[in-house]
Amino acid sequence: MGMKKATPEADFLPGTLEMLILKTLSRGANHGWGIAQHIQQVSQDALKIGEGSLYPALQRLLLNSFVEAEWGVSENNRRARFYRITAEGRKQLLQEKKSFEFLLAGIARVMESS
Amino acid sequence: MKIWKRIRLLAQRRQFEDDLAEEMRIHREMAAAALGSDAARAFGSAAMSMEDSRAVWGFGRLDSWRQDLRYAVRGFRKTPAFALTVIGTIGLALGLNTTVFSVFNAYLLKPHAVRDPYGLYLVHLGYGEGSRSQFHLAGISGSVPPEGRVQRRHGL
Repeated sequence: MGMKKATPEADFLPGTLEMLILKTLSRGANHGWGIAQHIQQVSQDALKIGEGSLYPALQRLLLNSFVEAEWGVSENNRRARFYRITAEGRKQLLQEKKSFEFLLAGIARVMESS
Repeated sequence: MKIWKRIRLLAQRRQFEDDLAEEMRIHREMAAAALGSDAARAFGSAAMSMEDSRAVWGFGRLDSWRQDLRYAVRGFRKTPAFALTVIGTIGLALGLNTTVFSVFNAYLLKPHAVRDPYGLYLVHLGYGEGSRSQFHLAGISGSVPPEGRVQRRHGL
């Protein structure tokens, strides 16, 4: 019953990965591999997203109607499932960005205090 | 609504599984093409990723219930004597319990199934010492004193 498994790569703050995916998709529809690649490249290899956390996160976004999925053909002519951000997803992204910045500023203030 | 999405997806369970498996397979192919052959290993167990993705939709609990049920049935089929003993014991105990309660309910909890049950008397005539006639019934008991006058006393 509902066992809690240790994920192979520990998630940073809960919900952060969803935010990064939404941000990536706000530039245009993309498939799972493309999303992971984009996040890794833009973060300059600081963030590596494995499928073990990517696909559950995408399912959560689908369940909340923040993204839509559709099969299509990738840039190198391969079948791929493309994810597209919805209007609700954009709203969510904005909100998450705000609370993330708030949190980050809070952490920074604590770390920089003497 | 989330709940409707869940139910709709549950109906298209096979499709969901196929989509997810296909998607992950493609993911691995792309990873292998981009990073080399040891990429697949770096991504960990595919079965576990599938399981985590399914769990998001709440299929995990449903699956584990079904597995528990199947496990129980398999266990029973393997040791039929034990299964029959258990079923017999529980069945007997249940039947006995129901019977005893039915009787208890009919005689003690519910009023008797006759018109004006509280007007009912069961009369014992006794010619013992004191020569009082005893009667009991339907929540009223009393005694007939020698003079023959009926006194009602409430109680059991």
